[in-house]
Amino acid sequence: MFDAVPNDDTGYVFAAYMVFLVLLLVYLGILGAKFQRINRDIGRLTDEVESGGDPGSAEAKSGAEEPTGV
Amino acid sequence: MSGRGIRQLSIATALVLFAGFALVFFWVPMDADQGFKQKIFYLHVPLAIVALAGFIAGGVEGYRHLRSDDRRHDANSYVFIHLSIIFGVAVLITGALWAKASWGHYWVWNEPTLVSFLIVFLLYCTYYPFRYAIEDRDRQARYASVFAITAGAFVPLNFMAVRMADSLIHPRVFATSDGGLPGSMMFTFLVCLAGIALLWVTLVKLELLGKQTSGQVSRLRRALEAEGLGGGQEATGTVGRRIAPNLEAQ
Amino acid sequence: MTPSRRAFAAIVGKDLRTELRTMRSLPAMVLFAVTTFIIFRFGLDRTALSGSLASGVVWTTLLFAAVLGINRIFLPEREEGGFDAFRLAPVDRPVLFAAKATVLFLYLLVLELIVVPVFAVFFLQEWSGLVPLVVILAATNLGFAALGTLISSMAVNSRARDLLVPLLLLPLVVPLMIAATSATAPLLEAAGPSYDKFGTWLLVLGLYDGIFCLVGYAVFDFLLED
Repeated sequence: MFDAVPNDDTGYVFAAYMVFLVLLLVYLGILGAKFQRINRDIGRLTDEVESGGDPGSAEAKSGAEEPTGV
Repeated sequence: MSGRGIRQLSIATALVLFAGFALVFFWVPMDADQGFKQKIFYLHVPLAIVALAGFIAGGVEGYRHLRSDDRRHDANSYVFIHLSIIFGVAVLITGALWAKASWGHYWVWNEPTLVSFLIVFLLYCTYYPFRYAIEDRDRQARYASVFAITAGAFVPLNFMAVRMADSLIHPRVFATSDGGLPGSMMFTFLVCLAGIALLWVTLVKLELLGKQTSGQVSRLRRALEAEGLGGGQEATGTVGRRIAPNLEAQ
Repeated sequence: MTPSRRAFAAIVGKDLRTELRTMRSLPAMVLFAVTTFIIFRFGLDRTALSGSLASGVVWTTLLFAAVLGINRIFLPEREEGGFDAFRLAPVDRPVLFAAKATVLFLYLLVLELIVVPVFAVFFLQEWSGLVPLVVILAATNLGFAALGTLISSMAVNSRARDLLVPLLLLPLVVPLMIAATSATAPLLEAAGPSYDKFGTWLLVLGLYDGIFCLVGYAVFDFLLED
């Protein structure tokens, strides 16, 4: 997509909107990875608590974030 | 800050942005002076306006943090500035592309708004090294708020000074013909502005939600460790994460 | 004399006396500036400067020499526990800001009184622009002093403090530099000074000084909290 240097106006406009889109997707990807990590942590914590038989394990579930639908 | 509004916000953002871009490419008439490349204007300028508004809002949250000592304002300030910097990157890249299309160079010194924006952007880039250089969490938050306020006050001054330094001999790269925008262009511009603004708000809420959640996970882990459970879990944070503001201490 | 005024005078007096006795910052700043002029002479390959080139050279040099001084303005407080002593005193916190800014202003004034004549001797053929230049120097010094004190007080308590001051200060002084250099350039024209937009730039300098003096004074309380 970017091998040929855009040499007319259409190319620049396209590139500009693409840059915007790519930045947005990269950002969402990073956020997604972060949420995945949080989910993994919560899963691990829940497992440890449940295997430890802690009566407060209900609290662990409430820490999960609601899934966002974009 | 609940996560509940995020779904509606995301949908609204997607719709408005889609409408805006559709207007740009299928409805609004071509600019007589600049031709097709003028369409970058509908992306570049809303991004710039929203980024600058975000910086100033970051300053406002910094002020509120100092007044109330509520950590949430510091987290808001951090996230507002963070997102505005990312939008700022987009502003500079789209501006460079527009400059290259109009002027043949990726950077032009005689476009005062672009130069002003670069200076503001560089200033806010120093926000992170500054924060991470201060180890004490309370002090870091306070100093960051002072920085946000100072930098927020700086933004309008900077634009004014750079604009004044620009000699009137140089033609403005981004000036539209006659200075005023015809109705259809103004309408399209406003729709795009609304879309970009909604995008910023949605992303801010997403990021704040992430911070809240990881803050709660940390609290949970600490509470469990205090009870002798959850000890085998390794910390998922790096030094940076420990220092960055999170919403734990509520 | 109110306690605030007494404290103000005490701090300013102490810093000036210390500087006179130990000569910690000023000689380095002056030497730095003069050496930089020599580098410019060779780097630009010019023996005479006028107009915007002269303005740029002198202001850039003054800026970097000022940064040297700004880095050190809170060093005595940090090293000798002055911050704690000040916090315990029954004085308004912003008094420390005003006192330190005044000291910095005076340092810059002394720096310029020595360095600008040296610059004139090295590079300028027409000296009549130097008198109105004093006004620009004073107005710009005020902005440096306010902003430099603010930044320095934040940086002094952090890691990498020598790096932090230039990092934070330089973008913030860009409007100040724009106004100072734009006002100075017509004054240093080889044909004699012209006052093109002199008043306008002075107004910009005044606005900048006013805003950052106010901001510094207002937020300094929060910077001193422990």
